[in-house]
Amino acid sequence: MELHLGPSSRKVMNRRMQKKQETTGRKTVAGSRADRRLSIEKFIKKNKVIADWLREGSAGRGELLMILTERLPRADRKKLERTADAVMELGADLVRRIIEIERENRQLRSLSLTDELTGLYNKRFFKMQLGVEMARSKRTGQSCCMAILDFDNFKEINDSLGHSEGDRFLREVGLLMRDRLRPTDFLCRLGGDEFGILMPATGLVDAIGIARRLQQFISDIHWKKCITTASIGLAEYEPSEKGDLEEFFNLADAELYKAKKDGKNKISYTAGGVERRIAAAEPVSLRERELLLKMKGEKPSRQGTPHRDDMKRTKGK
Amino acid sequence: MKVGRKKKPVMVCITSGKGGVGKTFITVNLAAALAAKGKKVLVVDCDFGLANVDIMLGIRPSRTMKDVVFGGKTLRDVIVKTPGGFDLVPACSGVRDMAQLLYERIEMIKEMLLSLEGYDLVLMDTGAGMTEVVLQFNLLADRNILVINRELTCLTDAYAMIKVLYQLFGRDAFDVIVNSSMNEKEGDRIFRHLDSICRRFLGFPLKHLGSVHQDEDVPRSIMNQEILVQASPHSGIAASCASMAGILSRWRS
Repeated sequence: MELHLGPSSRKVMNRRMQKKQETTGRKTVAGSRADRRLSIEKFIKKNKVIADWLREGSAGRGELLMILTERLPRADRKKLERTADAVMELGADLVRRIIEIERENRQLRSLSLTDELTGLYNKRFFKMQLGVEMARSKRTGQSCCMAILDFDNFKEINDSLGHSEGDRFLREVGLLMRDRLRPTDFLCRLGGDEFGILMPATGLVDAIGIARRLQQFISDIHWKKCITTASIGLAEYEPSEKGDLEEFFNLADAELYKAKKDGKNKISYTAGGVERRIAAAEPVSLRERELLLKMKGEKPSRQGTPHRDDMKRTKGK
Repeated sequence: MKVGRKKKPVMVCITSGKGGVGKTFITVNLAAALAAKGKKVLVVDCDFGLANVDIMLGIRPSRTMKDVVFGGKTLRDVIVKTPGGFDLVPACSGVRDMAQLLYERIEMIKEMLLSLEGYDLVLMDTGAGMTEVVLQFNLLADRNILVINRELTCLTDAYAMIKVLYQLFGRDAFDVIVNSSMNEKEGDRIFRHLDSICRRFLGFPLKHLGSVHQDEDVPRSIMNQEILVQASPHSGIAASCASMAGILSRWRS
């Protein structure tokens, strides 16, 4: 037996049960055949799992009430269907469905995309959006950047001011940081004092500017006489690259590690991007070159109407 | 965190791809012409390894960009007044480290430039070639000016520069100054040639800012370390610089 019920649906359920008791009560007086049949309440009372659940109530957190039965007369089954979201007979594939539903349930529970403490997006959202932006980059050919920001001495704040003050720091600085980003950027709390910044349609050059701005802002903060700095690891995703989401994320993580190792309060990134792009850029083609070199053929005497000449020639070929 | 909005200078990058086209000559004379119009102009010598704006002006700055990058000075500390009526951030010559500035240092200089106040225009005179530094300053600028002349190598280099800036960074607005043309017509012809190829292959037109014609005054003024628009204010070059300065002074960032 599997049962999940949220507080709100439990109320509904209780109300329904009361009604049912009234009606079934009448029925037992009226019809003798009904006596032989198991009434819903008796059925429930008899059934230990449901009874236990009704008593304890709080055990289940989900919103789905599912009753598994062995073979039931159709009438009873219908009665049960009125109270439960699903009434199912036990069987091999049913077990599979239960597992499925249970899995869905769990997913729904963890599907929340916001970080509880700061109200920013969480890591789950970050990874999801990262996938979206990488796909967008592939489609549009425009690179995107991500940064991982980590406070250098957050532990000191926690130690000297206490954890609640540390939490308050994360909450407020998080929101202030968000104000300092562009409206299209995503700021997420990845966990602890680690934040992720996703910059869609942004090249490394601009991303460095943004990271620098954040870093400057953070180093200007005086939180109850504590001065903080941040280390930032930056990575640029270029659409021509083959790497997947995890590799991209790890790249930024590795850069953060480098920044920390370099003595903190640093921004670290691989600068190879621009150079690589220059190497990969389409060079001036022979055709373009040829046309550029056409200048030579023009003699000073033809200077009178060079423009039209020129256009004709370039159009003609 | 926002920089004061009152007076953000228009950042103009002057570049050419090929060397020896006359970028520095044009930068200096444009700056002087703008200053004559009452504009506050700052020239930044962005050819970090091989400075020559200071040489062209005949000044010997005691501090250069090197002090900003390695000496912890601010731009304000190194800015010098020039005889042309504009200010200059001089670069240093012969410092190898400066020629291959680290990405991060370029960023630092860029930040400093962007936070400058009190200027109407900042003219950045880049070095030759398509180095990281040159590209960075081109990207930083609000406006990109390309200096070209009739040499074929210069045209191909300028085109390559445009193509890279367009393909890699999406820049599609360039102003062109034709240098050392014989006359107005040849200047137009050289411009249209490059323009037609840009239109055809890259799909956007170029803008012709003006032409500076060949003149025996030019080598003389450089030899004498004078600014031509000041030394011979009634020359044709001074007139074309003044007209281009008129266009530049209407640019907004």
